[in-house]
Formats: sequence, C-alpha cells, structure tokens
Amino acid sequence: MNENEQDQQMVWLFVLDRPYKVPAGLTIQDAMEYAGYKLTRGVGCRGGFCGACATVYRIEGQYQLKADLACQKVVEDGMHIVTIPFTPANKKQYDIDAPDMKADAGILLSYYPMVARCVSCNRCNNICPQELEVMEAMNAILQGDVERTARLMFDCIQCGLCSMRCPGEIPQFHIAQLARRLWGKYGESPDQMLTKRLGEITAGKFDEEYDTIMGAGREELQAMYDTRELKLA
Amino acid sequence: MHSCVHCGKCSAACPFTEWMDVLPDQIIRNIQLGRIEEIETMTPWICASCFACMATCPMGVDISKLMNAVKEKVKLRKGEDWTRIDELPETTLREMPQILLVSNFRKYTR
Amino acid sequence: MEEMFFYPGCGLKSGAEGYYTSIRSVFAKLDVNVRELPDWNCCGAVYPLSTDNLIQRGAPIRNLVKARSQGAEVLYVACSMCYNVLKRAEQFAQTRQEEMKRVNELFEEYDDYSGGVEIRHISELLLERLQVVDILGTPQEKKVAPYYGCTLVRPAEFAVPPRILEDILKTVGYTTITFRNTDRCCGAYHSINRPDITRTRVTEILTDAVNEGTEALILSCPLCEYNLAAFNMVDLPILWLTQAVGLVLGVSDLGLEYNRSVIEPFTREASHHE
Repeated sequence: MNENEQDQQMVWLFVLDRPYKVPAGLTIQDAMEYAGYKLTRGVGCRGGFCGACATVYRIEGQYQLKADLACQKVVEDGMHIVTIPFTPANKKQYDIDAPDMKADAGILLSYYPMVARCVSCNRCNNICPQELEVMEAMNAILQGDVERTARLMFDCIQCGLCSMRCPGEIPQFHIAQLARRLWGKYGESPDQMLTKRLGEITAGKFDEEYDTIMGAGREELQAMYDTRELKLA
Repeated sequence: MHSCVHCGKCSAACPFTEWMDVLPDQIIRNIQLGRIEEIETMTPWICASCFACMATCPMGVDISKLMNAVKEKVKLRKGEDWTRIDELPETTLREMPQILLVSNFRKYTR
Repeated sequence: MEEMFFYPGCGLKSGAEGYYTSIRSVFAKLDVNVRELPDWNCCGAVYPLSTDNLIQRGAPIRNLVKARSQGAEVLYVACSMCYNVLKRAEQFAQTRQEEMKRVNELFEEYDDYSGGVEIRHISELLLERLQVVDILGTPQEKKVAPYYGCTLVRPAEFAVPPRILEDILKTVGYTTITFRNTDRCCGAYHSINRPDITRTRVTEILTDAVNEGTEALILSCPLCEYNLAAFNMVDLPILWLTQAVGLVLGVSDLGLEYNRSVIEPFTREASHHE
C-alpha cells in the first residue's frame, strides 16, 4: 500500500471481473485509467456529451444491472463493470436532402419500421443515462408526432444503451437522430439561430479566424489556448 | 381443446380457409395427436385472429388462442419470422398506417 | 358539460384523423367534452393471446394505470382494435392476480393496478347522449350499412351491445342495412405479407354491401378502413360512425377531407336533406 492509498479511502472496482483497488471519488473512467487501462475506444469528450463511454454495472449485493456514462458516474465499492463502447444497432442510410423527405412519421417508419414493435415496457427510460422519455418518444412516432419525438430526444447523446435493453430491438437513438434532423430541417419553424449562423458561415464570417488557427504552429497554439477566454457557467 | 368433437364448424366459419393448407379443425386434431410440430403448414400464419371460429364453436374451444400458440411456439420460437422487417420496401412502408405495422409485427415477428 | 376520458390510439392520430375530428365535433354538439388521456401509449393493436408472454400485457395495462392515475372511472375508446385490447386487458388485470404481480413491476412509478377503469366504446356513450339530448335527424331515404368487423363484436364477452351501430344510425334518421359480411374479417394485418388475401376479403365485403343496396359503409376500425379504402373497387363511400351521425345532425368540421374513399355525392346529399 503506498502513501497515497493510506491517505484516501479506496474502493473495489471489478473490470471484466478483475478486481482493482481504486480511490473513491474517481469516475469510472478515471478509475480504469488509475488501474492501468489505456482507453482508446469507449472514451470521448470526458464531459458527458459524446455518449462514447456507456458502461453497464452492478453493485455487489444488488441484482439490478444499471448503466451510466463512465466519465460521469463515480465508482462505488464492489462495482462490477463492462464498457459498451459501441452498439451494433441498425443505422439506416438516407439522404436528408432528398426531395421526398419531410417531417413526417411515415418517413421515420419507412426507415425504422421496427418502432411498431414497441411493447411500452419502459426499459429504455429506465436505462437512459440522460433520463430521457425514450418510450414516449417512440410512441410519439406511432402517434404521428415527429416534433414530440425530436423534442423529447433533444438531449440524446447516442450512447445506445436504450437499444441494448429493448425487447423490440428498436434502435431508438438512431431513430431519434433522424427525427431531430427531419424536424430541424422540415419542421414548421426551422431554428432561426441555426439559419442565421449557417448564413454567416457560408458568407465567410469565420474564414479568417479559421485560417489563423490552422496556420498556427504548436507553440502559438499553446499560447492561444493558455490565454483563451474562459466561459464559466 | 380436448372437448373438440371435430364437427368442422370452425373451418366452415373461417373466412380464410381458401388460403390454408391445413384446416383449423385439422390443426386441432394434430395438436391432440401430439404431432403439430412435425407438420409443414402455413395455416397459423394465415389465421388473422378474427375469432369467427371461436364464436361458432359449439364446445367453446378457443381456437384462435390455440392457433396463436402454434404460431408462437412452433414458428416464432424457432426463429421463423413471417414478416421480414428488413426486407419491407421503404416506399410501401410510407403508405402503411401505424395500426397495420403494429398489429402485423406483433403477430408475425418474434 | 359532461366529460369523457378518451383514448384515441395511433390510428386516430395517423390515417383516421377524420374519425377523431368528427368525434370532437359530434360530442361537442351532444354537450360532451372529449378529454384525451395524457401520455397514452400504443396498446399493441392485437390482444396478446399467449398467457405466458407477459411483457405484451404491459402496453395496454399501462394505459389503464395512467387512466386511473388521472382519476378516470371510465375510459372511452373509438378504435375497435384498441377497444378490444383495452377491454380484455382490464379483465385480465381484474382477474389474474398472480400474473399481475409481475406485470405491475413494469410500472414502478405507479401504485399496483388490479383493475378499476371501465372500458367502453364511444358508440355506447353516443347512443346514450343521442337519447338524452333528443336531437333527432330528419328521417331520410339514405341507406347505410354498419361494418362491425371483428374486434367490436368478438369474443362475445367483450362485444358492444348487439346492433348498437344500427340503433345509432336509425336514431339519427338513416335507413340501415344489415348485410351478411357485416362482421366478417377484412383481412386485417395481411395487407403487408399477403395483400391478395385482403383484396379478396374486401371485395367480397363491399360487393355484398352494395348488392344489399348500401349507399355508404359505416365503421369504427382504422385498420378495416385502411384495407377497405385501399381495395375499394366499387367506390362505395366509407365513413366513420361519427361522421355519418354528424352529417345528419348538421355538425360542421367532420374531417371529411381525410377520408380515403370517395364520399361525394353521398355526404352532400345526406347533409342537405329536407
């Protein structure tokens, strides 16, 4: 036991059933790295936004399999984990600009007809680390309400846990993405701020700034980073 | 099921017998004889659970339920989906109402 | 004003909008406010006939749980398929306590459910209100035939009162025809795998109705309506129950523009009678 371990409380973490003693208070991701894992897949923004680090866990003494994001969830003693870096759910190819595309449930169902297999069991809601109403969003498609689907799933980070849990084998997160895209592009009120910003980009408003960054050397970039304007929430 | 007297009224009442290779009363007989899993038949797929057989049965046999059990246990649990969702053309799907997709998938996919 | 807790089902939201629109308008005329059950989910469209596949019970019973949490004693349903599923699910909840222990685990955010919400079809309230409110349509020559299909009348235990659609249509002034195929299956969900079967069934039903002198077919099932309209070779007008009632009661906004079959000139003549 080293000095560090004496100072702070340690907990047992089981990664693929191998035990590691890790400092309490670390996130699952940090704890794995502490234990010596070099994470190359299943890790992304480290800030709870990218959805790359979905992890299924169980706490000793409990029967439930729970899930969360490895970069957000703090380790607990006796935690058994497996990471789910990728969900091989069916993702359809489509051309969002195709002339027959519109914000219509029929379009969603034509690419993802398995939505109709939903049995309203609520497993998706229970597992969603974003606490979204996934089941309601899928039902909204059956009720022809694409806007509701898009809005309910606005904060989806595409981790894929819902579809891993779904008895109907529905790829909810891909469906939600198409719903948001359809509503964003063809909905009744296209987002005005988005339209404005796209116009600015096309008009070249950011070209100069972009060229400066791309043309900068390493030291120059480091200096820019160190003196950047911090936005505190 | 064991109270079936093989009067054949179910098969007479069924609006779908012209597409069935084994008639509803014959399905019951095959269940009674314990050989339902051995026979090759499309009948459980063709049954639409319209309950016409059940309504006419003098012995109160719930034939729709038996037919459904054959479908679920003999067909679907062996991994045999009658509706291949992946193969449905997108153009067709766009025309179809939700109530049709939901009911079909409930009956014809695992 | 009386209030009716209402479960529309996916059909009335996508495809059968004319049914929903006319339900609102007609019941408003009969002094009934239609209150849609908040956050309802798909009932599953077909009642799960297998006894051990409990997860499929969750969908319909979740709606009953939500209805109860809203204080509903009666939940009215317009779609024939939803009506059948929800009514059978309610009986399941009342009588199958062992299985319900497991089904209830799906609704952890609610108290356990063991029944308590009565499922009724809107035709039942429609007939009652027509008798109470005492608005009668003018007697007319228009001959209409109700098409019950399957799930409104079978299994008998869960059926609406016998001949209720005829009673409603007669009350508002129609001449009704009861034809042989009135409760024979339209082909239901065969339209995906075997549209030929649906086509044959629909043709038989519509031909039968026309041969009996029917001028319009009246129904309440969105799946029947889809099938009948898709293979309507005889161009028989097909109307929702509440549209037929609304026409002769002089109700506007019946959502006739949503109908998939040709309904003119029937609707014009029925609404401009003297």
